[in-house]
Amino acid sequence: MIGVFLRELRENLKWAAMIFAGLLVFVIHELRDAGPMVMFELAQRYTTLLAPIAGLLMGVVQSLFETKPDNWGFVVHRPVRRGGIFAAKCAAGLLLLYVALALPCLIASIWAAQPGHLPVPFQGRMVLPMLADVLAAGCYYFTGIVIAQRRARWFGTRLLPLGLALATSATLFMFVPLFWQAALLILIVQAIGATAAWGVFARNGEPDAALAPRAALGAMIYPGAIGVAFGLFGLSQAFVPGGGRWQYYQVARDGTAVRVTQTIEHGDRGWSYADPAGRPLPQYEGLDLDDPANRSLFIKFGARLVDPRAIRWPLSVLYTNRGYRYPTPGVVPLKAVAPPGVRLRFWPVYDVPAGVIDLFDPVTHTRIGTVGPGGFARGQTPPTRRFEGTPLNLFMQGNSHVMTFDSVVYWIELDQRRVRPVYTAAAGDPIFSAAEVGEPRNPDILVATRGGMHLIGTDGQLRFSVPWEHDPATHNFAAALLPSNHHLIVQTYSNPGVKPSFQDVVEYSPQGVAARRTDLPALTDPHSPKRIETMVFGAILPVAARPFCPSWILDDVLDVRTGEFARWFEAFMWGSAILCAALTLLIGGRCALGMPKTLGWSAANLLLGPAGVVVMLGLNDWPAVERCAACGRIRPAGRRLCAHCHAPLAPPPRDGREIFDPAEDATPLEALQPTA
Amino acid sequence: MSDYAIQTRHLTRCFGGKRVVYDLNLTVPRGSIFGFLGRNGSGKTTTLRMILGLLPPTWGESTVLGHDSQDLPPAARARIGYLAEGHPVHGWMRVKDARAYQSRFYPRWNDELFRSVLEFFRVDPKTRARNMSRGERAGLCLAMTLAPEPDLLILDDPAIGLDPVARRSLLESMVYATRHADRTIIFSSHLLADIERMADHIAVLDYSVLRAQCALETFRSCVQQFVLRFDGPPPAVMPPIRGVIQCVPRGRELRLTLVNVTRETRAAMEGLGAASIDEVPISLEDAFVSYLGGSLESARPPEAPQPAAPVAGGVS
Repeated sequence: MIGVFLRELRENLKWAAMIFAGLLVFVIHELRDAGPMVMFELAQRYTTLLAPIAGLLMGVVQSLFETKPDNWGFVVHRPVRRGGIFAAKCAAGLLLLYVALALPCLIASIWAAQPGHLPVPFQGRMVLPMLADVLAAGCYYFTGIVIAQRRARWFGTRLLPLGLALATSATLFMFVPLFWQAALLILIVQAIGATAAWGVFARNGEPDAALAPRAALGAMIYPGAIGVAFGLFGLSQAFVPGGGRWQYYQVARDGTAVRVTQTIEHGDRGWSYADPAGRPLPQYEGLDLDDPANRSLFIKFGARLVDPRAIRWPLSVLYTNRGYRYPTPGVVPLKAVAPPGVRLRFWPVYDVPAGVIDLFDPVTHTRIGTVGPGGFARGQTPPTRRFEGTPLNLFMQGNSHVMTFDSVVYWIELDQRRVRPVYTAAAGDPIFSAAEVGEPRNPDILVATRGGMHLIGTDGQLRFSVPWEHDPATHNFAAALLPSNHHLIVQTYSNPGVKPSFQDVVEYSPQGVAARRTDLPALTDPHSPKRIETMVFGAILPVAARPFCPSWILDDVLDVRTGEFARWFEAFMWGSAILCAALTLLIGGRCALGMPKTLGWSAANLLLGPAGVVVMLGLNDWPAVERCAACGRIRPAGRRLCAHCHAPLAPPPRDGREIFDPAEDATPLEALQPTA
Repeated sequence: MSDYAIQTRHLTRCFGGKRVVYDLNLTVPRGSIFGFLGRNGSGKTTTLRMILGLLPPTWGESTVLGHDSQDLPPAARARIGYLAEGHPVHGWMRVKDARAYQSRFYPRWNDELFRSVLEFFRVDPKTRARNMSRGERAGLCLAMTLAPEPDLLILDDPAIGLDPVARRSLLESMVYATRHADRTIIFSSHLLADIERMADHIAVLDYSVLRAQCALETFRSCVQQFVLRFDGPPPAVMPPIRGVIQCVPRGRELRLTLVNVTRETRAAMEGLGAASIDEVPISLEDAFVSYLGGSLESARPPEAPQPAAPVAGGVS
């Protein structure tokens, strides 16, 4: 095996060198003009894309020689187990791939860790996104082997195994919060890929009869088939003339709620306006919202109050950036740290694990000092006090002067190199969010605690407190001050994933009295183009996935309308499932799978849907057929026994030309017939 | 220990609807040099791959050196040398790389044999395999195959693309390899001169079906050619004669090539009314071409009224 390992290393060194050089060029280019978040930008711009390409390339080029059966014979006809040859080959390929990808990342990390190179404190977790990308390249590596060696039609299922790797990347990118979870997912997908690749390698691309490689290959093809189905639908939509139609609520400058319907037809945009009950509002007729003059017609809600801990996974990753790929759990660049117009001579970042605000020199990238609750500490002097706990709403922190913790809210005044506590929570009433509202030059602070909402000035003066009308564990709130009367207007939304969704708008007087309350009915539009999308989605979505994909995930994560068009969705999903099961029965008969296997596949495809049918076709041969000489019915040409009459295929007829030595010819052919 | 190095039973392989190898019952005696013949696409390579366990049969089975082909243990593979069609070798390898790579797998590696084969083929040790001539490449591959001192040597069309000199070198190397009496060689080839020179047993695949398996001399003696001279033109339509594989009219002569001539065959020939019937010597190459050529058109006398009609005197 060591011989195969060394040969593979030698043979594929050039590809690894190319990958290394290519990535290094991009890394150096990025480091030449490095921003504070360069490590995350490297992952986002380069390794996310290049690592999969490199993995795929390595898998394909390493298998190209063996795609010819004679070459494959040369490789595997050796006095070692075929599994050993495959293991040595993959070990060499993965080693080269990982070294080629990891070295540039390591160089970038070492560079970034040097004091003076980046205006942020270097943290080990900054390496994690790149590390995950590098590890995920292994999934693409096995995919490359499968695609290169598997004998399937290019316009059939040959490329579909790429689906699993792509789905893994998308999951890692959008939904996985913690690195260990990412690593575990990668490991599982690599195990699936390796099993499928082994099956393909061991039989030189022929379908493997063993269960594990077949199942692994099916698991690779399945997401690809689903992806292609959605891709084809999206493509078909691109060629359909027409447009879209959207409805949403806005709040006018006088606090009136307005239902806006936007349409795009043949490239023309139009708007219509109604009150929440649906009555047209003539005063808005013909108003073009694309016109800059109308930009300030409606209020912009600048303050957002949300308890990120109440948002369920996977929306928590999508909406609040709580994941290993985001910088916020480690360092947060602070932008709103001084009154408008004041220019600072340092770069402030909040160091989450250290619990201090670091001030960096923007030219030398060295630390000027730190700011904590105890004030400013110069240079490397330790701060007298650190912030306790992790700040809330880190994903919104960049543009806010307010720094919020469970028990206290600080107002950031880094022009004076200090933070000031403006609100301290009462015992048993912890804070979950805070934001600034009103004019940027003279803002107020809206503090959300479990018990209620508190409007305070930046000097800490309480304007008013009101209890919640809606549970903050299931709702979030947008707030603004009305320019006309300085009333506080609060729009309430259900949190993503909470059904039924709910909206209302409440206007509070400066004394904290609810002056106006407007319920906003759920927006349902029977003519929405989302109806067709929802139906198609239902037809593609497997029944088996339904228990794991509640409507809130489908609607809020995947942007369909299963709640709005529930009947259509369910009808198409079940109709498609039944159709797939029936189709499978026909295909099973044509493929001569036999009744037990056909029924098994049919039951599976009832649950797996159309993609399951594709998997079935990908894993089973489509045999040529001929007429049985015994019973006259159609039978697969590649089967010895007829499926109908069980008659064996007749041996080739003798034509009188046969020349056999007496010794060979002494045994009549009939005597050698194996038992059926 | 079995007397046979290779045995197959009803070995069949289908690709789609095509049976590339059909119900093959083959036995290769130990110590023989076995020529495997057939036209392009007749299933020779597929058969060899199935025998080596590189391709699963659709049905049927085979054994090599007493082991099931589909489950050959590493120790058995160490005793089988295989030279695949096209002389595959990694293009970047030089001679020393190939030697280092190959010798690592085989405990019985004969370095002297490796070097002598290379010298025989005049392989430049500094050239990479991808830059070698076909002859050099064949020499390198053959050296890699022979040096492990295999008990069974399977060569799939080893002379393909070689010039006469390289081909001669190849044959001489094979002759050298047979200095051990119990070493078996099975090789496929289109070159009949090579078969004639090397093989003592042959098997002939005719479009996926085994038509002949015998000693070379048996084959030679079973294929005969006769010249029938007529006083007038030969008969336009011939009655069916069992064993006719070729029929070439030439003026008042009819040249018939037959297989397995019996007393009945001779009687049928005499029934054609020829003035004389003479057996003429036939070369092995002509015998093979007639046997495998299937040139049915030439078996029809030119005066035949319907060109598309089945030939009356063809294979029956």
